[in-house]
Amino acid sequence: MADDSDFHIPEPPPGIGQGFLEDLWRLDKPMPRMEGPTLLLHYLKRGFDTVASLPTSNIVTIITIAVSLFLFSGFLLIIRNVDKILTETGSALHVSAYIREDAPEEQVNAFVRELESSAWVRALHYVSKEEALQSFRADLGVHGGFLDGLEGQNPLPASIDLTLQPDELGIGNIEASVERLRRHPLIDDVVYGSEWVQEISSVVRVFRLFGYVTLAIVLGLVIFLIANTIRLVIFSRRDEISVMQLVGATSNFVRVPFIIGGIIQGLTGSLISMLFLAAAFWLLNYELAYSTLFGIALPHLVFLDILTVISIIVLGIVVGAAGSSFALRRFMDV
Amino acid sequence: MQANPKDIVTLYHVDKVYPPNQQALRGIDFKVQTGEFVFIAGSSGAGKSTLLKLISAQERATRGQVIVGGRNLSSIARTQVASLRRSIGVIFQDYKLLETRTVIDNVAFALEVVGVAKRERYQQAYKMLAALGLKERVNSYPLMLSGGEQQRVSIARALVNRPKLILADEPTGNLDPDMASAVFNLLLEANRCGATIMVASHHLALIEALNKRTIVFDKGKLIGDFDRPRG
Repeated sequence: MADDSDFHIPEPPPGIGQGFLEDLWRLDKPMPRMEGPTLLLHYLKRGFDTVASLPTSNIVTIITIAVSLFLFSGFLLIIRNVDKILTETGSALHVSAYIREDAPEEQVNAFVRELESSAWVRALHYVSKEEALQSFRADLGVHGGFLDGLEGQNPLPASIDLTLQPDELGIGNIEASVERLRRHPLIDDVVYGSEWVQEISSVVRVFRLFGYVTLAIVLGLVIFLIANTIRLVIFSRRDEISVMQLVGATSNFVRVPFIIGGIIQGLTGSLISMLFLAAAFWLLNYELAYSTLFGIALPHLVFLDILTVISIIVLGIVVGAAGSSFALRRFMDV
Repeated sequence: MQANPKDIVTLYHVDKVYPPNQQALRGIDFKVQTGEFVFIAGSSGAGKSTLLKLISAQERATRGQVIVGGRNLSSIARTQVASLRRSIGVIFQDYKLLETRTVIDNVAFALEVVGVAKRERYQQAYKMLAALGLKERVNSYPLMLSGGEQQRVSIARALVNRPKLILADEPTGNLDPDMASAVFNLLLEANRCGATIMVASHHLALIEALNKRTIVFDKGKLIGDFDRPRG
C-alpha cells in the first residue's frame, strides 16, 4: 500500500524516458473498423462463444427445444395423415341433401347458387327428380322395368350432392356445415359419411386442441429456459459486460451475440426435432408398408409439407431470439 | 446552462442522492478545462467515486447538470452514452482486468468493443503495452502480474482508445510508492499528450508532490478548489 511519508515525485518506469507516448498517441489515420461480413462474422463468433461458455446449460436447453418441437410436429403429422386418409376415402366429405317436395323451384335454384359460392363447398351437383329416377333405373339394370308401374309418379326427391372443402387442418368443420345444411327450410334430410367419420373427426379435434395447448405450454417453458440459460451466461460474463460498457460498446454490440446465442439454440433444437421426426416417420412407414389389417394394406403416410417444416424451424429461431431478448431486458442494463 | 467549449467537464448545482436517502453529493459546481490535470481529494466517503461515476455516465445526477465534452448527461440518450464513453478512459483501484484473457487480449478488448478490425487492434495493443514497459508480459494472464503491472495494463487499456478525458479512481490505492510513481508517470505522460486527467485520491503526499490543481471534497460537499497550490 502507498505510504504518504514514502512518496516522491514520480520517475519514469525503467527504460522509459519522457515523451514515450507522444509518437504513439498521434494517429495518422483513423483505425480501420470491422464492417459488413467481418462484423457479421465477429458477431457470429461471439454468439457461438455464448453457447460454448456454458455447455451443459445450453445442451439441456437445446434438448428441451428439440423435444418440445418434436411433440408438436408429431401432432401436426398425425393430424395431417388422418386428414389425408379421410379425404382419400371420400366418404367424409361427400354429402347428399334431399330437397323438400314442396320447395319452390326459384328458391331451390337460388339456394344452389348460394352453396356454389360457399367456401366450404368444393364441388356440387344438383340432381333433379327426373335424374334421380333415371339413375335409379340405371342402377336396377335389367330390373328397371319395375319402375314402369309408377305411371308417371316419381317418388324420388331432388337432391344436392356436395363435396365439402376440408378446412386447413382437417375435417373438424364438416359436422357444423352439415348441421347448418340440415336446418335449412328447403332441406328435408341430409345423409353423409358414417359414424366412424364423426368419431375420428372428434378425435382429430381433441388432438388438434391438445397440440395447440401443448405448443403454448412448451413454448412458454422453452422461452423461460432459454432466458434462464442466457441469464446464467450474462451472470458468468458480468465483468466482461461491465468492461465492455465502460469502454464504450454500443448496446447492440453487447446484445447481438446473446441474441445470436439464443437463435443458435433455437435453430439447433428445431433441426434436431425435424431429424428425429423424419427418422420416426421413416420407421413407421417402413413398418406399415409390410403390414396389413384384416388383410387390407395399410395406407402410406405422408410427411409434413416443406412449408410446415420451415415454419417449425423458424418457430425455433423466433423462440430462441425471444428468450434471449427477454433475458437481456430483464437481467442486463443495456 | 451553456457550456464553454474549452471546458471538458462542467458540473452545475449537482446533487446525488442514493435511495432511500443517502446524500452522496450536495450542490457541486466546478469546471475542468481541456488539458488540465486535476486531483479530486477527500477522505473515504467524501463523494469522489460518485463524482467520477457521474462524469462517466455510470450514474445520473439527482439534481443539477453534468456536462462532459459538450453533452449534457442529465438528458443524454442511452445510445449516446456509448459514444461518450469512447472518449473517456477509466482506471480503477482494483484494475478490473478480465482474468481469463491475456494481457494483450485485455487491451485489445477495449478496441474490439468499439469495432476496430482485429489486426489493427492487436497492433495498437502491442504498441501501447510496449510503450508502457510490458512487452514481455503480453501473453501473460493478469493474475501472473504484480499489482503495479496490472495497473499499467489497465492504463494501457484506458489509453489505447486515445481518450480525451481519463478518470482514475484511486489508481495507486493498492500499490507501493515505486509502483505508484510509475503509474503517475504514465498519467502525466498522457496529460502531456493532450488528455485531460481527473484522479480521485486520498493520498495527500502524492497530491502535494505533483503540485496540480486539487478539488477537495468532504461529506459530499466541495470544500476547496486549489489551483496549483505551490504556484
